[in-house]
Amino acid sequence: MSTMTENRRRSTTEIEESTSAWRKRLTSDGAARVAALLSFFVLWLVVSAVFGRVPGPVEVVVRLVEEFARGEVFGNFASTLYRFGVGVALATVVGIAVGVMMGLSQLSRAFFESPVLVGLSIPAIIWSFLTVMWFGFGDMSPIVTTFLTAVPFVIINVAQGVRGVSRDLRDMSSTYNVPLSRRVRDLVLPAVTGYVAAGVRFAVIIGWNGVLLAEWFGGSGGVGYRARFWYDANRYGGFAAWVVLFVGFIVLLDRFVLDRAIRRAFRWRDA
Amino acid sequence: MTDQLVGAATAPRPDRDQDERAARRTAKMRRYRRLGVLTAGWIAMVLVWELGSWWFGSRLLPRPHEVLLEAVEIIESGNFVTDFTASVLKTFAGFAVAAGVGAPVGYLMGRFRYWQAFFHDGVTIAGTIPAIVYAVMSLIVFGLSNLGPILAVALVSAPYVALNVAEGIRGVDKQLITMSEAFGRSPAQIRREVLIPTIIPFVFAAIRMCFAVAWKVEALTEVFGGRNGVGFQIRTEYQLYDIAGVLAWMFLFIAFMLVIERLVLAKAEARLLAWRPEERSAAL
Amino acid sequence: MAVLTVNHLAKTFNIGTPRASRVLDDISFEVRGQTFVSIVGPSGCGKSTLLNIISGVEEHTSGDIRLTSDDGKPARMGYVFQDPRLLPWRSVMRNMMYVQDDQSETTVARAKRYLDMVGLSKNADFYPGQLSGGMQQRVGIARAFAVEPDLLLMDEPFSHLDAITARGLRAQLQDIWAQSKKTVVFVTHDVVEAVELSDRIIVLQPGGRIYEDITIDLPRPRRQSDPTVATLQAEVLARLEQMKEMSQLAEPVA
Repeated sequence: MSTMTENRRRSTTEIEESTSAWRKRLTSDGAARVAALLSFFVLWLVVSAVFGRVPGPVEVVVRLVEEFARGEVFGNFASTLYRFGVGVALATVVGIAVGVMMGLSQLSRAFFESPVLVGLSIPAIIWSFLTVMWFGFGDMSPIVTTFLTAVPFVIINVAQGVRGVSRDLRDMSSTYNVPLSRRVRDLVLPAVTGYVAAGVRFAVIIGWNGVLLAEWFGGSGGVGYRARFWYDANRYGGFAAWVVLFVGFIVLLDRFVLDRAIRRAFRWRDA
Repeated sequence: MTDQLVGAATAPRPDRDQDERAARRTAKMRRYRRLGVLTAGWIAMVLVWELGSWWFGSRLLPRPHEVLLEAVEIIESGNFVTDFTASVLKTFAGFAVAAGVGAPVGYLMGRFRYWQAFFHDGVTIAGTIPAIVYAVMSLIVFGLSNLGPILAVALVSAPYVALNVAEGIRGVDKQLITMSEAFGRSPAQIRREVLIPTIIPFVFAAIRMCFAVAWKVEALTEVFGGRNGVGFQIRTEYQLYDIAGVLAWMFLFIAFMLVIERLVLAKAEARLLAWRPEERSAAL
Repeated sequence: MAVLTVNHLAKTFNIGTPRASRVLDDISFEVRGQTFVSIVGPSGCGKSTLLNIISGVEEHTSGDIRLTSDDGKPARMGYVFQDPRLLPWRSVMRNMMYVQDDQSETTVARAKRYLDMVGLSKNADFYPGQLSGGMQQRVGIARAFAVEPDLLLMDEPFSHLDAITARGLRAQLQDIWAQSKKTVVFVTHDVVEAVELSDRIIVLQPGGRIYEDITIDLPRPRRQSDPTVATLQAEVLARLEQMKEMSQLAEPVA
């Protein structure tokens, strides 16, 4: 009974008063993001120093400016965007059509299940090989490659969304004998917009892969073609410049266009 | 009143048997119809293929049976086993790296607000970069070696793992943590007994989700600059204009990767998650 | 043995914001020795918060709280929650051992003994998912007792169980406590339960002050069927009714 050991704790008022102001600022969210950016650059410098073949940030910026000066940027980007846009648009239209069918009807689902599975499995590289052989150089090959790689993703997302449409609402529609076209328009499509948007977002990411691959192996301009030019010449600084350009573009696109579109599409759910 | 009850108790039974038989018949018919439509789907694909061969000429698109013959040859020669194993090993090696890097990052992101802010931008951007970029980047770093495909797989998969693990940590049962703290468990114990078992299912979900993408990136990197593996063989055949060879290698690759996906991954998951009452992991 | 001393303890949630609410106000009491103390009160009177503060899960806003043990080591606490809070991916036995500081043979034997006291020694290798709610809660109780804590905190441990299971567990709790005689602080909204189980009842009123400190002098073991127990329960209930009426007449506490 001689020694007493105590557990005594500080109250919140004590703790709050003892954390300093500058420590709070250093650990804020904004500071974290800046730290991340700096760390990325340091990492880049280290990797390019260790691996001689890897271009450093300075070289990349120089090449980037050069490409702009040579006028290579806008023309190639325009080509790629055009092919990408057409391919994804087609994939969206066809994907929604097939997806809705698969979502509404068990038989459609059974019929399309295997082709969709095969479509999901075939790598984009194969499509780009084949389409270049079939259609030669030009716009067809990248467009078809983009379409073929993206369409399975749109299909499964839309099908999932449609199947999720409340069973009750669907039963109600069939009890009242609502005609199919009206059912699709008023019941299915509004509920499904969110999933369509998600599918399109997937399609966009996969689609970029397809168009770039096809341009890499094809011969008629575009971001992929120009990137290959630098790679084949073993001038990796030029290649990296295009990567930076391209990644910057899709990040902006994704954050400012697609993200908003998806949030708007899901408005009804989060209301 | 009693009459009604008695009547109900002695209702004629044969009707029920008849109804059940009819129901079984309808169910069977429905199954057959579904099977028929499923087969129709496969047949339609083969028909479209034949049509394509005819349209483009069999040099640009070989007929299905040519590809089949080629595939058989490849298997018989034993080449498939060696190259397929090489590709699979590289894919799983890439996963190991992705898990090794992605899981700690995800843990930090899920646990601490500072690290969430730190990594968020990078991980999101990394997830949007197309596979071809990673493939070529890996080749620039490692040149023509087996490390290239491994790095590419790691780069593609790590963001998925990080995001899933972060999600898992965020959803960890806080009550288990307060229980552990109430009993005076150390942070290391909490990490080992509560946090890590919580995130294991999420790591698996991430691997399952990106398995499909990962093996394609692996093959792609091999096509660009591998020294063995399925992708390497595909490039060789393409350079020899042997399109039947290209397609044969591709189909064999796809088929076996699907098998691995269904069998190996699913089984490993089931064993690690045996404690779950439902015995099946939550789909993510 | 341990001594729990609480001095002018107060807790305000969301302090400094317009939504601030004082949940505990000037709480002072002392608990020492082998005694079973219940804290009762209507919902929202802060009893769970008080328990959280005692266990260290929450911080208090002002005032003092000390737990002193007299064998030179830091005081050990055990905790039983409303829900079992077992690690679902570990067996019952591993759950028992998880909260122990050492994994020696003596400790394992001790854990097995307590598991046996709640009648679940056959289920030592089961996963929690394979047990019923009542069985899981029994494991939770055995787990806390097996730590042989200086202070055992219980937060409405039977409130999520059906009446029959709860009755059985109350009897079992009395039996274990009789065998191991710990210092127990037990929170409940059920006064009837408090009278059956405790030596002393601290009543909190809405606003977080202590209304009354009642000593229960009935002999043990106590069973629901005993008329003296029932009489005392009715008395205490009546006193609580009074408190409710008075607090409704009084002005609301900020």
